[in-house]
Amino acid sequence: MKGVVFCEFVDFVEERFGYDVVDAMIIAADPPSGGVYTAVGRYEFAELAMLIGALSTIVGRPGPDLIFAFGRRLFGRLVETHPHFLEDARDPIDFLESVEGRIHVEVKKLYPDAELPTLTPTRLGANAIALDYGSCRPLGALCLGLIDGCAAFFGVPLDVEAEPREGGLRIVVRRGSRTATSAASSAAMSAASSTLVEV
Amino acid sequence: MAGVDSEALARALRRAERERAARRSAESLLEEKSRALFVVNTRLEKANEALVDALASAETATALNRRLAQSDPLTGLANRRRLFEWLERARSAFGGCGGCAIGLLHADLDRFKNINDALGHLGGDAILVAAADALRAVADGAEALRVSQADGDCGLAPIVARMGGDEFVVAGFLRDAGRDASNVFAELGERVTRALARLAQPDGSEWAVGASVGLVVRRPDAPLGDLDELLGEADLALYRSKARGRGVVTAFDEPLRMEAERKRAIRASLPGALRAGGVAPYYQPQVDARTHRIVGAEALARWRREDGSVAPPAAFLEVARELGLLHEIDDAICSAALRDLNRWRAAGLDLPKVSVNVSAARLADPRLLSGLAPAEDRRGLCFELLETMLLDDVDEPTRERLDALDEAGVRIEIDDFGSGHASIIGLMRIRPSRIKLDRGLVRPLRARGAQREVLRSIVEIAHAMGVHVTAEGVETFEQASILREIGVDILQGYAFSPPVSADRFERLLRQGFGGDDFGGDDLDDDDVAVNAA
Repeated sequence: MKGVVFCEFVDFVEERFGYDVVDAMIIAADPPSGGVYTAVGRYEFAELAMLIGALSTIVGRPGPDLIFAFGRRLFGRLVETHPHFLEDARDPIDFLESVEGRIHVEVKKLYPDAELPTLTPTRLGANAIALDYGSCRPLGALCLGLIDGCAAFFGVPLDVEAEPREGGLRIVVRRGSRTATSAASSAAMSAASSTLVEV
Repeated sequence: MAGVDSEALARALRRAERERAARRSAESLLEEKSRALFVVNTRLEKANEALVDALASAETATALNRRLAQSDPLTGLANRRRLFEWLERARSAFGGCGGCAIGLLHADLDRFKNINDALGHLGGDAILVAAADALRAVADGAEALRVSQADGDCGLAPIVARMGGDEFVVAGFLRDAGRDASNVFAELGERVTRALARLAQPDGSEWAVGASVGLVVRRPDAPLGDLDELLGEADLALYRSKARGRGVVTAFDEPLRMEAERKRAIRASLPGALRAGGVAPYYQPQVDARTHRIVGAEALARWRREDGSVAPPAAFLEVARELGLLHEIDDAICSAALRDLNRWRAAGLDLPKVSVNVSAARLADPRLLSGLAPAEDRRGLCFELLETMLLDDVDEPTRERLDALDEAGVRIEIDDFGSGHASIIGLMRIRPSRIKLDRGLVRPLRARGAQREVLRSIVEIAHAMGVHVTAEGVETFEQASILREIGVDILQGYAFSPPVSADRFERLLRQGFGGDDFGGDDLDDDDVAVNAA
């Protein structure tokens, strides 16, 4: 897994909980790298899972909730570092439709060794889309967090439904009636949680 | 408090250590990536150099192909295509340039074939290269054709082209020529003949080659016209140079233009005339030397044109040869002659034989025998073959064809005997039924003299071989008497009759010639006009 994800995760923990928690998380997880991460490096996904597990114990929050929050923040960071990915996006539904066919293709050009999930879109109308999420890693909650971050960025409320499928999730996103900072439904989070292996 | 401070300090130290370690790790990874990029960059630079070299090679090949498409590969001179492009540019400049003129010289090496046979192809190629260099020097040194910057856009440097084989063209564009254009280009032609008179070989030796030149000059008052026509006129002038004895320059002039137009008219009308039966035989009687009875006739091709005039072969056979019509003419004359012969026989007019002239190409044609009429219709048919076609070394296919003709009842007569190199052995090998003494042997014949005795000897030898003798070109009573005295069997000539139409000949068959009577008094105007042509 790209080192940038680990760096962003450490920054997320520091920003949300303070460096004390970062330090405690690293000491508790005792990852093989010693908690030393650089954006240009690569580290095993198991280290991230160890860190999430240790953080969950330290802050007393479920792992999927922490991953969801990380995903929400991560979307904002991606917008800061790669603004050109959103140049042609008019709304979050259009943007989500373009992730697999354009965003992931551009990411692979920049990082040929990136291991990306698949997010196969099926448009359900002007205001809805179905996304078939597939990944070799149990990070469905991260995907839901990124979708939530997308809604916040565009300022468009989205209703998100997710159900487990073999190898991933079936996520249905619709324009919602709630406020901008909408959260995924609890069912969706529950479904996403099922993809996360207990660490 | 001290514990809290120490814990915070320890955490700060751990953070600093992690960040330092992360920085070192990043530097190491970046260093590694940098080395990898250097390797990739080096490979890309090499690939780029190879690509640049390949592009340069492709450009060179393209330029070479373009040059080859426009240049003669042996001499480097312009080729036919580039000459045509030059003429097109000249045409454009021609229209807007009042006093200018275009001159085109077509040069053909005179003795190249002999030299090529003697030296072989490599030596021949060296001669052609030397000729090209000589012509380049002539064109470069032509002061009057030089294009100066002050000339503006009305001017064109001279061009030298190789048209193939040993034929070359030098073309020039002359500004402000006035009336001197013909003289300027004639002088250029003279320089060409002098330059090509002797050509040097790489080993320092010189060969006397020589060239004949045809020249055509165009001024704006006469349109430049079709480019093929321009070259055609230069060709006609060239052929005239050859006929004049070679090594000379002949300018295309009004008589040549009329000749060219005459030939153009023949090319346009002869094929149709042939199809419509406009080319038909005229018959010149052949009489027994003693009785003057008509015993045969020679069928000679005549073209009765739409305006009623009748043209002899000399007027159209050259064009017929160019158009590949000689076979058809031979067939037409032979078929018509046999039709007339059988028609006369059916009318009770006995004509033992009719001779038709057969060309060398026709004799060599395997279809000659299969094209013969049925045996009963070709009785009396005789093929006249020129002596020059039947030299000592008659090849086997020709020998076999002659034997087959003999078996088919077609007699062979050797025409113009005495004009070539026929020998006794040749006569024995061919075994003709008759020889026809060339008119050159008959014309100077006198009552006494060596000529007469030579002819007597020829006749005696022929008779000893069982070969009959005809004399053609008999124009006077005296000649007829002498020829009869020395033993010639058959006489043919204007003393008896010129070639006449089938209808006129039929009247002669009915009237006949008797004793010393000659049939010339009854000739009608048409026949006289034809034979005077």
